[in-house]
Amino acid sequence: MKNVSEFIQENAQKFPKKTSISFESRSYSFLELNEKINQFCHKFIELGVKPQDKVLFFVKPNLDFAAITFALFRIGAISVFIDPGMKREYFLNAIEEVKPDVLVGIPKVHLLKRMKAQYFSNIRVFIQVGRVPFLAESLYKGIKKLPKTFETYQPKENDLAAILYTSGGTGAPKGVEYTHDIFINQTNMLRETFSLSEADTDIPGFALFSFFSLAIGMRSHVPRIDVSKPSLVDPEALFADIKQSNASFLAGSPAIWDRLADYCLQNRLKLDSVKHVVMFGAPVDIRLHEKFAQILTEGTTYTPYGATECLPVSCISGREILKFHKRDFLDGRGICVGKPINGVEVKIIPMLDHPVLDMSQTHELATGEIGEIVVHSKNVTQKYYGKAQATELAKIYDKGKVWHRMGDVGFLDKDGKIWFCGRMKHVVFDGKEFFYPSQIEAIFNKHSKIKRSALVQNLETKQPVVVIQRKDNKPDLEPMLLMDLKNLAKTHEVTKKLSLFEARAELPVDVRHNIKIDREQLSKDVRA
Amino acid sequence: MDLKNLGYDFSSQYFNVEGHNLHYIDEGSGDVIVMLHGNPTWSFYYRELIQHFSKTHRVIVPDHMGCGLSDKPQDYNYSLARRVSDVEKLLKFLGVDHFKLIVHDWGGAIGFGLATLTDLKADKIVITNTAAFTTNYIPWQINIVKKRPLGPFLVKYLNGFCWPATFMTTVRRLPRFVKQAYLMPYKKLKDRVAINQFVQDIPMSKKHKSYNTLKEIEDKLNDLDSEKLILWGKKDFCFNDYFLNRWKAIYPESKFVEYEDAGHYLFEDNATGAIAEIERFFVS
Repeated sequence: MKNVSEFIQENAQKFPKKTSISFESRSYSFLELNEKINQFCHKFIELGVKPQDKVLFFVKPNLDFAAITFALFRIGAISVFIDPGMKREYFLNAIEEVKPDVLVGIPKVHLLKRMKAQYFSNIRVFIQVGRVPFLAESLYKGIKKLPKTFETYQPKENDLAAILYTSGGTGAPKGVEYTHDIFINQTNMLRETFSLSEADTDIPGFALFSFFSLAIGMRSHVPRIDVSKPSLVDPEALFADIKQSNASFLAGSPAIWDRLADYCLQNRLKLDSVKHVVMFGAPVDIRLHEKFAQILTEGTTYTPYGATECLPVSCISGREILKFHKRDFLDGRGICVGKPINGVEVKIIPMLDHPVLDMSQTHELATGEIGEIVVHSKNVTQKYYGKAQATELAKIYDKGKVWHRMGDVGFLDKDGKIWFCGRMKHVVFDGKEFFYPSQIEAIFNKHSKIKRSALVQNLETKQPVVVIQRKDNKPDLEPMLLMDLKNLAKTHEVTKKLSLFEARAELPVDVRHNIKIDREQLSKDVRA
Repeated sequence: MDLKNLGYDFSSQYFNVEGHNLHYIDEGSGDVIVMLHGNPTWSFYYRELIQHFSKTHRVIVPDHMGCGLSDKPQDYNYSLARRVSDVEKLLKFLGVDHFKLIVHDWGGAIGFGLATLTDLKADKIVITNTAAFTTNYIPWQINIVKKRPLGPFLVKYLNGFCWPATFMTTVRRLPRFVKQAYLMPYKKLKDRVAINQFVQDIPMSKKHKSYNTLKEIEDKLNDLDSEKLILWGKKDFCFNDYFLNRWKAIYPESKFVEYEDAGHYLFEDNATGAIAEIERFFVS
């Protein structure tokens, strides 16, 4: 089996002098990057890292981030990535669960290890990517003297390449197991979907993304972003990064690109070099597509649909959404996320919060019927690390094939496009009718005074309640506004049966994207 | 209603009994199967069986008065005799004089009432986690909600019967939406009148209004010439082995199938297995 780091080796042979990664004013060519990777490989081995060791990895995006990542792949280690925006408790739980063998991190993480020693007790090798004396072995010590070639580890059948802990909505995050093959497939799909080539430059708003762009042979210009709080990004610096690198491809959380879009609009700036703005990690507001339509002279926005467990599933451009699906979206049909990408199969099955062990135990719903979205492709991950029960709930076996249950509800239209209607656990069912958050919230978000809204269930009466946050953050519903909301409800099919509204100064949102509403939290305090 | 998403995809029918609407399902054509639910379920409990058997049979499933989608009159004589006569009237109205019968929980007493006290004929009877005889034994969990004055308070004010029933009746956790559908008819205080009355209608003494009805049914059980099949979810705290053994004593010749991995709501825990068993029994 191929090792995903071989992409870099190939690129170093094809165009050794071409810039691979750049950060601030420094950069590496592909040849330099490849040699750097090899030197890190030797250093890791020297420090005692072995193939299939689980390596907990905390490095801030910088010039060496990608080289260190690729070096871990190249020696056959399993990189463990934990989303730094995660709640601290979950973060520590993940470490406890995965029991890493090696810790590679910034000096700060090594200090944390001293305070929370019990979580780090399994670790055999501590490596710092800094030079703080007495803290841990430094990855950089004597690195320049090490050989610039290395024999790449060839992954075996069941070898893992990485375990990814992403901050799902709520609840304890799960470690998604990745193989080299999945990374390779994803790289190829990405290249195909966006017709990318070595002529492109990307700004990875999501640090791991540079991993794909470098594999494709693109230049990756790492922006100065605090990865744990993308919504607080400095748009001016980001704009300068884009201009400086002539970036053609922007990727990451909509929170980042929203800040950039506002900045550009306020200062009447255009992004001439950008062809694709790919936004993922949280739902993308249709208004964000509209903003970018004014800023991009050549390109368009894209919203891929998928999950860490199966990425990508489908993709749609902002242009297509605005041209064909805006009306339906505003009428409460749902969010169109496009047709499945080549090689991806999608089915809609009845909603059930139970394990479905085999496809024969469920059935496919007809076109237009809403149910749970299940997907199959070569990229479907097989398991969650150490969580057999979670795996059972998320996978369906089908004659040797594995389907992943997205945990999302939606439907397929007659053209085969997928429509997203919300997370399954956020669907409200009062015993008679189903209410789907993405259909319903779109209708109330249309109101000029409303910033965002959330459909939740009153836990006692089981009735659906719509909680709104006003643009002026006043936590009240004056009679005029309430009347407007009731009128909106009455005039749309999906909201006809809604009559309960509440207002909050602010809706609880996730720290990372500042977009995902914590509906569980909210449903606990709606009035009885 | 969106209950079709959960497999309850049938058209609702209503039958007027003395000014109150009795809701029922009447699906398919052919020989008739009548399914009688207990407390606190409703015709929703039989959804998978209705789906399956309506392909080959005419399936009639009422919601007893005060339950499911039937009216919830506050001034109705909630007694066993009245419930039997409601179903009898419905079946006669529908032109049915003989049928196959499936009963569960308190539906057992009603169903055996039909078979023994009326001129309707039950050709075959499927008995699942139920009783149709008097007993001195009552599980303590049921006794709590039966005893006055605390019982009715728990049942009506705190939904102390329907709500525990969503997690105490199955081995597998009920899916969230299914749970919601069971609770749906009984959301308001007033809606729970029948639930409470059902519990109160379990006759524990000879003075009880339904004692004689039940005793009369019990006395005729042995003479009933219908074929019987007994399916039993063994993990049932209420209709436990005591009741199963009583049935074994009454119908020693009949086939008994015991499901170790099923609770009181057998058709939630193992509909597929039960349907296959019933199918064989009906065809034989």
